[in-house]
Amino acid sequence: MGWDKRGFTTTMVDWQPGGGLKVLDYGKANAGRLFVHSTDGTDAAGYGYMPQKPVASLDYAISNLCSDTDPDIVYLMPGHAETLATAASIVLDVADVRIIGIGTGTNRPTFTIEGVVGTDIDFDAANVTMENIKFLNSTDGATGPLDINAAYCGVKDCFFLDEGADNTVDWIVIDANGDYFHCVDCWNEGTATPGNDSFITMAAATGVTIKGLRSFGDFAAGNIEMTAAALRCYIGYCRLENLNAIDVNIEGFANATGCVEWNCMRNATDTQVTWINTTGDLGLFENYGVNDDAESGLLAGTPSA
Amino acid sequence: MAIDRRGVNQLFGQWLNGQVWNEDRYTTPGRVYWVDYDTGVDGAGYGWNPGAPFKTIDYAVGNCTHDDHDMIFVLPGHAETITGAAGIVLDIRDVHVVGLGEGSSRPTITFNGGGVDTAVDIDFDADDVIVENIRFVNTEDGALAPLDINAAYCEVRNCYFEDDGTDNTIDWILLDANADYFQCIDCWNEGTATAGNDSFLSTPASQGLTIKGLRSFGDFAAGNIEFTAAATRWLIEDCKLENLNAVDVNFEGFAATTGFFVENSCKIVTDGQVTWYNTGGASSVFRSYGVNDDGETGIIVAAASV
Repeated sequence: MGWDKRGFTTTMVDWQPGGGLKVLDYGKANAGRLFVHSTDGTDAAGYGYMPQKPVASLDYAISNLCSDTDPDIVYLMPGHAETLATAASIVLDVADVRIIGIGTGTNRPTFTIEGVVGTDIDFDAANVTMENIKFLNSTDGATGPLDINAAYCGVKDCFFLDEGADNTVDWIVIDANGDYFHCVDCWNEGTATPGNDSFITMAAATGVTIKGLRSFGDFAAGNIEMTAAALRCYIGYCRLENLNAIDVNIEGFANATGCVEWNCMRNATDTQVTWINTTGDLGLFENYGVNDDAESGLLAGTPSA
Repeated sequence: MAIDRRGVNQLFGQWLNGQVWNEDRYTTPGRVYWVDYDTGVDGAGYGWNPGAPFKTIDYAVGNCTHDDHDMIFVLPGHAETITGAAGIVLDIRDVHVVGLGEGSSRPTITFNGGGVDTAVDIDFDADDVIVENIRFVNTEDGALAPLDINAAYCEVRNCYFEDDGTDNTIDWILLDANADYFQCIDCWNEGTATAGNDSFLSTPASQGLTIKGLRSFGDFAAGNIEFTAAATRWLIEDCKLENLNAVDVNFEGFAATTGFFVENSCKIVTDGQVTWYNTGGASSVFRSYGVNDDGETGIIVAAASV
């Protein structure tokens, strides 16, 4: 890997009015530490290396300031907001980039999908992760805002919101190259109107991890969907509610393998027990399902004998 | 957002007894303020380092800026008494108040209305405010709602709530309908064995409420957790709830409320009663257990789906 002296250290130092010395720690990386803010930033040379002079857009930071295989960290500053209107609005095509949002609740960095239904962010390079970001969709029928086309990518502690009655068909689409994708501690707030297919859908990828997902919506396939035989997946500790009469929270696939454990699921139709459907070769452990108001969960799946 | 260079860093270093002392807390491009009641001064030039802190949290909040993700570190042993309504007003968005210290050394905020003002409280009036690792003590019997949550995406984390002696708090945390996505994480509520509580946390028709890891003890006329309207898409998980009141309820829901009640352990006072989870509305229960007599093991709460 290359050594970028501009981001070599993890600290910046600043004297305080009271005489104290403050030392900045923006994470450990042997490469760039970059800053993005939509209204205070400028997409031009000389910007992006300190919070006082950020660049304005994530795509500019990726394209101009990051280098393949350098573990760059891109900080999206509090209140950063970008509206995306076309396919490939942001292309994460530099490997090993960690994108971290700073801020809480409504002040978290936000990407709004508002344009053609194919508007998306492409994860085209390996090892790219996004943390603490709010994704908001205001385009009804958006097909796949997060398009995962490379291995070892992930999203962590992110919030996905469908605005009003605008539904996202599939928020995260993992293709067969999206091996070892991880979705950890994310929250998906869909709508009560039909129009979702799933929150996350995967093809025949290997080693996908979905942990701690909280997902609500009306999903025609299920909150989590496999469209081919994914291998060695892990789906655990998720809280999934589906209002669609399909009555499925996790839709597997023939010959899919992996571990599905400790999930709590709610479907829409009393007496339906199809919370986990098409289990393929998956192992199920302590998953529970509810199918009517104020009832307690029933063990999902058939116990081994 | 504005950048204030004086507060740009998150690592704070100073010479102390011949050593460099670093406080490594949180990442923010905003300001970092320090508060200590004994050594602090609410005035210009203070607050920027632990050697010259502000005196009160409210003053520190007043020096923060909307949306800058400013941090306020409250030093160990800090003790502040609130004597009336709006004693502290958290009215700046995205402010994070963090107490430093452990156990009885944690920063303590005491509610004492002098025996006359039960409206004594802290107002969460701006979105995105987080309060962490603070000990709240109530010495005002009948205090109505010391933490008054009036904005969205606020959070209390790892805080301790104590009723002093027989002084009861009606509802420690009271959400209004603006308090969507409120989070109560890893908190501990030590009530009293005397009647006088209504609930620990009470919510109207909020959305996306999360209560995780709550440990709550007291004599609650409604229940440890109470819904007064149809809150939606909430998650109550991994809580340990004990209610000494003969109402025999730990969770009082509301018609048509929606959410998940997951892996909670509940104890009520009357043998034979099974109303730990009451008025469940349209919510769902998972692996939650209830006990209604001493030394017994829990049974599953609510009828199982079929």
